[in-house]
Amino acid sequence: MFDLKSRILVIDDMMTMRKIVAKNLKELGFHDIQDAADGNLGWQALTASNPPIQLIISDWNMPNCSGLELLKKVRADSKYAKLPFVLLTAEAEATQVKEALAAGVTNYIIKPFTGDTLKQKLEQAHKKVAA
Amino acid sequence: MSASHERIIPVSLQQAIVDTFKVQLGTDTKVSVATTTADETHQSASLLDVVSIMGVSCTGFTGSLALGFPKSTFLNVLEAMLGEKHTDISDSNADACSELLNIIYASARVKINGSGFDFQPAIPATICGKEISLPLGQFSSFMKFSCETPKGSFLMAFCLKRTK
Repeated sequence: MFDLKSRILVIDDMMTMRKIVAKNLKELGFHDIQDAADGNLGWQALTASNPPIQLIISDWNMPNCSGLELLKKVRADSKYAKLPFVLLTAEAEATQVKEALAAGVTNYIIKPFTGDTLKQKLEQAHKKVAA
Repeated sequence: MSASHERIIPVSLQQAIVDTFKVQLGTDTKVSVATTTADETHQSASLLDVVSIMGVSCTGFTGSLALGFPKSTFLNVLEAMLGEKHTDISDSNADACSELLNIIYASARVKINGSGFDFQPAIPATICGKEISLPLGQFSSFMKFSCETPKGSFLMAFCLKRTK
């Protein structure tokens, strides 16, 4: 699993979902959690953060800059090319999953989800980046 | 679009409500579906204090999907979702209604589109107030999903019409 001291960036245009993810992360033992309301604000938070962000959990469908657009921007920057990036989506269509994988997503979580699902997906993401 | 083809829509929406509330809130939901007129739905809706609505469309059809809660149910739903008590509906918590509608529609859309439809993604908007009516006045009839949970009752409505 990721180090519990990791700084995690949670991005979602819905405050409720940011709170749900943060609540679940705190229950897993994480405490350094930042949030942003869209991909543009998420990018600003990512590039300004000190200590650096060590995991991004981002919604897909957001105004201004979607999670997929942010993922592509992150992967295009060599500084963040290997940063663990988990997409949250209510869309479980196969074409979208393929698109996210092609863009370099580390893992994805389909809404609705439980705290156990979040834990499992983060463990999978950690194994993937550690391999 | 055949009648059997169309049946996938209410069945998928009903299942999506049950699944969403089970997973995200850990609660069971009993849903009854009926086709009703605008007037009847308006009367039911007058008990609602927060409503989220989205425009939906697929080839040849356009419509709306709305989800609404009375205040008491919504506050119980918030507590179950967030693990914190809220005493009123506000700008900072009303988007939970949109999030639930978003999840329900996206879950149902995958199944519905698997039957040959091509419903597009949609973004909900939320209205808060007292005794809100569902803003679906351009449609003469609706599918009304009356939902009962241990957290209280709530309502979802869906309508669809052919585009010209």
